[in-house]
Amino acid sequence: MSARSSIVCYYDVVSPYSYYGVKLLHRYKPQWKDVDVELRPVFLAGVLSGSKNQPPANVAAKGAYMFKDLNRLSTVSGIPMNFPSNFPAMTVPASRLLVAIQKTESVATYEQCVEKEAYWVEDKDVSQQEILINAVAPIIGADKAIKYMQQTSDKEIKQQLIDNTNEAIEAGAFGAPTFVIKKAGSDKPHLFFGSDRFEVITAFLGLPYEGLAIKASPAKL
Amino acid sequence: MAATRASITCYYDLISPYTYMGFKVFNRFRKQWPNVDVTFHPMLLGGVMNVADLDRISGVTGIPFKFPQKFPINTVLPMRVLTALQIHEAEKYEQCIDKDEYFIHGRDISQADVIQQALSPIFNSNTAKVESYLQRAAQDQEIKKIFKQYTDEAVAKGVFGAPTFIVRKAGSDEELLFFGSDRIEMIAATLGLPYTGLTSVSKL
Repeated sequence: MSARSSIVCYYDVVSPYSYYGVKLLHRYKPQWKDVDVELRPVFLAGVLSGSKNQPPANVAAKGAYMFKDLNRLSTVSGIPMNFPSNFPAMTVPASRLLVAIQKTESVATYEQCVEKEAYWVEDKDVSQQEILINAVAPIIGADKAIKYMQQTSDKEIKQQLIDNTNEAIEAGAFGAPTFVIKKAGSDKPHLFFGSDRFEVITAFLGLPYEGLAIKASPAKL
Repeated sequence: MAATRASITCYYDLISPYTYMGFKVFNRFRKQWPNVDVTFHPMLLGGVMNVADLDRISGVTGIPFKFPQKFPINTVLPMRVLTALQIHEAEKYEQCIDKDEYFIHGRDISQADVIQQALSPIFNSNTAKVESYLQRAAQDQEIKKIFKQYTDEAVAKGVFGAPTFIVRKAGSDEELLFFGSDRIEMIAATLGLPYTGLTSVSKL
């Protein structure tokens, strides 16, 4: 039981709404002094199959809608997004790399790596080792980037991703991003699904939240 | 010809708890948007539900919500009644959608007597009038046709669930589709309308 509230965000690089969830957390975290926030990588396909769910794009009308929804979110929130040409990419290598980085590097460094825009802005093929190494090298240096990339074949790293995924499923997750929240002084987990639940999450935890639209420079609509 | 005012067309299915919640919240925010034309279209496209999520939204917004014991039910009859009311009772139509029978009181709105009890106060206890709409809903081919048409039209526009809002900016013909009771902030941003947040709903 912690004296601080906590938010665990289960995400997969392949998930566009996880991209928004992570970016929004990054934007708001500085205002939430007494909250522990952790980004935990999962294998989304595993979460979907474990919960007997389907990816939204399996329904044609939903897939078409999702594309428009994501672009509008970008306009309103000011968070850049360029829907990748190779969606959905195979992101297990990326997830394992992030697991490896999370194990050794500081939280701040790890989060910088999660927030790289290689996939959702730069449209890079993040299933490729070279691309991943080049994405994180500017943050942690080329040597470490290569080292962590090699670690993605380690049993321990593979197992951690599996464990994260199973943890999410057991918590009741059926997609990404999924937020598991605990109020300060309570062990009870509360599950929230979707990057569109920040209003409810922040009301629940009594945190400030100003909404999606960036106030400084109003989005041109 | 593009309208000079912005418009929002709301597609709903009575079976959908998110439609119940979404519309209650939407109607509160709507008080702040006097220059937008709002229409409600019945359709048959149900959807998914997550009770814990709805309970929390209820907590934050103050909109009462109690997941019904009997779920799901067949909502074709009340939807057809509403279709008839939309055509013949334009003034009272929205009040009739806004009833709390199912998602607060847990009454089975697939039953004619429950529909009668729900609507008769709106029609000044004119039970014969409500009965006539119930008959029409059950038998009138025209009403059945129109209701089916609404659903087909919705699907043709890309609607896949309820609630869905189809939005047009002032002076534009383009139809922008928003799915979900959690897209009201986005709708407001798109139309340049004020949005005061879910925590403000209880005071609206």
